[in-house]
Amino acid sequence: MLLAEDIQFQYPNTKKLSYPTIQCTSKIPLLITGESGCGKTTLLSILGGLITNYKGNVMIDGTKLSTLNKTKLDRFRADYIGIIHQKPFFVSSLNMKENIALAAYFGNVQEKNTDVTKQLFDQLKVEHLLFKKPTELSSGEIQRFSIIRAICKNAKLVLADEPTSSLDNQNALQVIQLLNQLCLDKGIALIIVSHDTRLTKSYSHQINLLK
Amino acid sequence: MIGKLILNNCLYKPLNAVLSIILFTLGVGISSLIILVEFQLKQKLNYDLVDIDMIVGGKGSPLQMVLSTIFQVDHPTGNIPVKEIEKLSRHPYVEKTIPIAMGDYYKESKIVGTTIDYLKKYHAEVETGRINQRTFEIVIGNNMANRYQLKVGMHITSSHGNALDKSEEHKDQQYLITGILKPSNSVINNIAITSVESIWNIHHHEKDNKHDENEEKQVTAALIKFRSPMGFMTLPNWINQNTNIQAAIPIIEINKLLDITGLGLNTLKWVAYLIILVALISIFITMISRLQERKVEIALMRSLGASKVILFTICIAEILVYCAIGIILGMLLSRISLTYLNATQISIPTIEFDNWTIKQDELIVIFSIIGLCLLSTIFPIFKVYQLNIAKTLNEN
Repeated sequence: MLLAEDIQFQYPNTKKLSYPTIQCTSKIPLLITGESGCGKTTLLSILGGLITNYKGNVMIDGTKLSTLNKTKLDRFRADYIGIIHQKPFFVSSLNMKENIALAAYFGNVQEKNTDVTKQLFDQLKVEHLLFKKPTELSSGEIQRFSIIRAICKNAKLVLADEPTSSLDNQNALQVIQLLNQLCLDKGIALIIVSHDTRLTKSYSHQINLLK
Repeated sequence: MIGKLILNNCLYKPLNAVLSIILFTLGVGISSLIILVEFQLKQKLNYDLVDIDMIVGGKGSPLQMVLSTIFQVDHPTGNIPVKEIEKLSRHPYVEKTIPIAMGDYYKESKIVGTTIDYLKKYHAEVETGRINQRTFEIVIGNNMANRYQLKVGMHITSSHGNALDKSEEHKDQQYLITGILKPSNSVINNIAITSVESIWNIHHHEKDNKHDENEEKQVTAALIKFRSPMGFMTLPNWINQNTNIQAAIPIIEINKLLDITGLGLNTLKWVAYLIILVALISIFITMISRLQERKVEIALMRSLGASKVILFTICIAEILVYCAIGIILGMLLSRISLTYLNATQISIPTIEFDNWTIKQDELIVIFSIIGLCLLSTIFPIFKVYQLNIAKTLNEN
């Protein structure tokens, strides 16, 4: 599903970041760990097509990202990749239901997938929060909506950046179990980058990045 | 979905939006009101001037003579002998002369002594009753009839000079109302019309014991239509230099008046444009500050797959929503103000504004505002174009 080889990236006036080969399928989720500053979030941005000026190859579902122009990359990201950010961002003027609908709209999700979204609302127990604005929700509640947003648009790959960093133990465990289960059920490849030691026991496939 | 997003974004900070919309409404409203007043004033003046190439009357201010004789808004300059008008009407360049005898009022409305040609000139038709045929019969303009609750068959007493002065009333002789005219947008809507003989007889009756029986007959003025353009070239100068009466070309006098009032209207117009500019700056600042706040949201939407074109469209549409609401409210404001002007008679009493159509000059203002709004989106669009998605999302 995903293969990233010889990835190198350098921010201006900083040390070059070099990454090992990264491979991930929909059957086994991948946890990427490492100390702060080792380039975990940067790697996720490269894999998600948000950073394009890197060296190396990223291949997702048979498509080499570097061969896509900006417009095609936007479309590819919308169709294939769901991103769960460390700090969940939502459009503040829309309620949660509208925010999810907006993601589905940009991801060209067909009407038949509305059922999938409803099922996700039910599974993640957020139905009573649908008409609230992002600012009215707790960290745990909003992270659940991040998961729904990443999955509802039929993504083939979900990239999660520190999805549990702002959650307490109980919420962190619940969120990560839901994420794993949903991705396995729907055949979605899942890559999580985190320095949260609570997650290490939940993943058999792990890569540790060195600074 | 995009429409919903645009609407929600516009309503997200309502106070800023309301301020910008109020400024737009004021700017558009004032400039539109000035355009409408200017346009309709010109239209109205031109309508009342139809078939009047020259006016002759007593010596004095030519503009005063034009205003009092045609628009009934000032005191006449004096009287002239009828024989002078008869002489003029025989001139080869003159096609028609209409005598006007003024000075009498019913309450605050003027009574004009004239001929049937005057009513024909304004295509006047009676709504009820008939046109006056005999001495001391009178027809009443529609607006005047409504104002004083006058009906066919009623008798009215005129007064000389301002009707509020009871001592000048012509109590010995009354007028019989024979007709009420249909409503019109011309000067006859607000006046009463009788024959010149009626005016003479009322005054003659009063003068029986005071003045010479053989005093020559006089009228206040005469409206003249030329047969040939040569009339314009020769007659006014000849009359002014060789006779004791005064001649004036109404269109020249009115253009002088409009030039003077135009200065004031132009100043007001510039004030309105300044308000519109402030509205644009206010919207621009609101957009920039909102863009700063929403930078992350824009980066998020890009990461979700929104193309730059969609985000540009959202930016432009949000500004255009404010602009459109301001324009619509501004246009409504100018029309409502105009209706209020009519209702309260703040405007010249014989001039009514009743046109709700959009004028060409208003369209120029509207499209200029839309153009400037679009221009003001260039900076936000440039910011969106330049946005580094990964950096913005990771830094926040």
